[in-house]
Amino acid sequence: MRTVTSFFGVLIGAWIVQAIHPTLALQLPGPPWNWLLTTGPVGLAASLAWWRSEHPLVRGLGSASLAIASLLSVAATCWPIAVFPVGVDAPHWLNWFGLADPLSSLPFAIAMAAVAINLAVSLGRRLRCGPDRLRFTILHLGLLTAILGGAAGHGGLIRARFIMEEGAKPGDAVTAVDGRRVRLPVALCLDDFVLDRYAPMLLVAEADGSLFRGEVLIGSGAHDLVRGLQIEVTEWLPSAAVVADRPVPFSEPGTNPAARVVIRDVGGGILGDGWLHPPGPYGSELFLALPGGRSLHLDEPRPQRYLAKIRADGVSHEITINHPLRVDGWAIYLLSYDESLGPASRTASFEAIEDRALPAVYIGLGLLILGVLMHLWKPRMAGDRV
Amino acid sequence: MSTVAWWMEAGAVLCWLVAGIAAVRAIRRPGRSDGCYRWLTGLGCLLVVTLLGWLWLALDRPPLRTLGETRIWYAGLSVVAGSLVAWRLGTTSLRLPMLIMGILFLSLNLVFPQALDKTLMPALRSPLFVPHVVVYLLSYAVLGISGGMALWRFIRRHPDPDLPFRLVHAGLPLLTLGLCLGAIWAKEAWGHYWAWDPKETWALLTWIAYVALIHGERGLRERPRLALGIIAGCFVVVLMCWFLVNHLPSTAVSVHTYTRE
Repeated sequence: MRTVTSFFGVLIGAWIVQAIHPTLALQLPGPPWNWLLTTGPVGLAASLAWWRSEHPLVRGLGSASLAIASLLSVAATCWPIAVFPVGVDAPHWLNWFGLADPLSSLPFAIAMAAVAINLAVSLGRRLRCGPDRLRFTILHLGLLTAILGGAAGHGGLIRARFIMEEGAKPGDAVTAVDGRRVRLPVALCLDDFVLDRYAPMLLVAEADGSLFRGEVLIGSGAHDLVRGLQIEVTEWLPSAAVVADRPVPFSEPGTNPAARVVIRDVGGGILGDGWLHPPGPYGSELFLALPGGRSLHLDEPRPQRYLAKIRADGVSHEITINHPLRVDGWAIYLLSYDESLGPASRTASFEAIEDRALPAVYIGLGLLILGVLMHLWKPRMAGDRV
Repeated sequence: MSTVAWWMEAGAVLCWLVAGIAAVRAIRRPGRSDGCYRWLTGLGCLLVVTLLGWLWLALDRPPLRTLGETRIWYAGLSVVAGSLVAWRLGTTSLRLPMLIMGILFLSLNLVFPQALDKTLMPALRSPLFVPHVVVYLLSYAVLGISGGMALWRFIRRHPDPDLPFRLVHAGLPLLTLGLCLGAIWAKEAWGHYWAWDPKETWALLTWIAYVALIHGERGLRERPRLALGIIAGCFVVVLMCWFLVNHLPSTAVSVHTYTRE
């Protein structure tokens, strides 16, 4: 219990320091210091626990009470980012508690360090005492490895966001988020950006502003029932531009479809008839005003899939949102495109990431999953020590 | 499409309501056959499974995109997982909590019916989408029964936290598995296994709440009413993570906003 009291004393002290210096922001240094700063104290703690497993300090540092206290402290320090859009529109009073940037605050660092030390000591003691309750040892080892990999990786992470335009010259120099100029292992250029979209859907806007979407993907001859309105498509232009408030066939990437619809009420009486067209780069919106302040719209088609065809040192690759390109320890992700142009976008934005600590994180996650599966296979008995 | 779904959900709710009445009668008159309860519970589950299978085929995507769709899974998993755990532990105490959870969450869909459409955003086109969400919903279902049972026992002054704790021991590993699968998927999709997105942070807070709970289990078993209160309170954190987070200011910067549809 004394260990927990001391921990809370340190944590409150850290909070006071942070409140006095709200701009204080801790960042782990780059390699190799990030590894030394994270694995060093943890290794020492685990060794101490293995060597003097019954020492009162070791018992305190590896206790369930400290585990609870440190975990709840992590929760207490990081909750603002779960509630407020910190960094965008955070309430000012968070500054008074030094929580404007919780993840680089001193209390958060102390709480995370306590979790890591607690796990390390607990592991050291478990190893000393033999392979009893193997699944808990694996779970603790997995969690510690993932935390250390994440912390060390955060210090050594290189991230660079960049935009490529179709047809531009290949390049390998990008600016990292911290302002450094970094060189990618390959020269990249964007050959083509492809965006496939679903057919659009109908949208009924009520007089009070509430929106109700239809269920059917609109096409030639489609029917849908939205908010009691029976809607039938009588003419369909899969690719149209709007000229003088009339849709005309126009085939260019980025054009939206247009639909002529007849709207009937439940009794079959006609309520309206006219063209619908979502707003886009090739024409403004066409919609139908209905009795009672309602209106019927054709929603903008939603993206179904987008991919970037790129060349890396002359070799062609396709990058989609769940399939990054991996080259020499770097991973290049497709982030977005020019959404105002939609399929006509000739640019795509990417993020290149080098994270040398990633294998440690994956080993940690793998051990966690293994421990979980072992636990589900042989459930814990009531009263077992965790 | 949503009309058919509504009627199938109403059918499942009706089956489970009558099954619940049969379960109460079985409690009041021990020794009577509980065939009615078993058949109706099974029929309700069959309706939910059929609904999910039909939606999967009709929508041409996993029916896991919207909050309403996840509620169907949650209701079904509550009753199926509750029945399995009850069978494994040889208890009848889980019958009412699991049926109440199933009825409650399917009834939300009856009151707030949602439009069903075929669209699926590109980020969700991943082999990890279904396992990540289903494992999470399964853990929520088990933890929901645990929380509901703890609340009931807390109110009824029946301070025995053993069964709620056992359910937490089944739900927490699933929660951990969901968290790990989510981290692996996030790395593939966005480049960061942990980005402190509001939903991710709530997932961490949920996990911390339950890990702290089981680390304090020994002490809490000696104070059963406090234990029941904490177990019930932990489920509030689950609800925050699942859908109440969508009503917080932080959701403005979340990449998990698809759940608001």
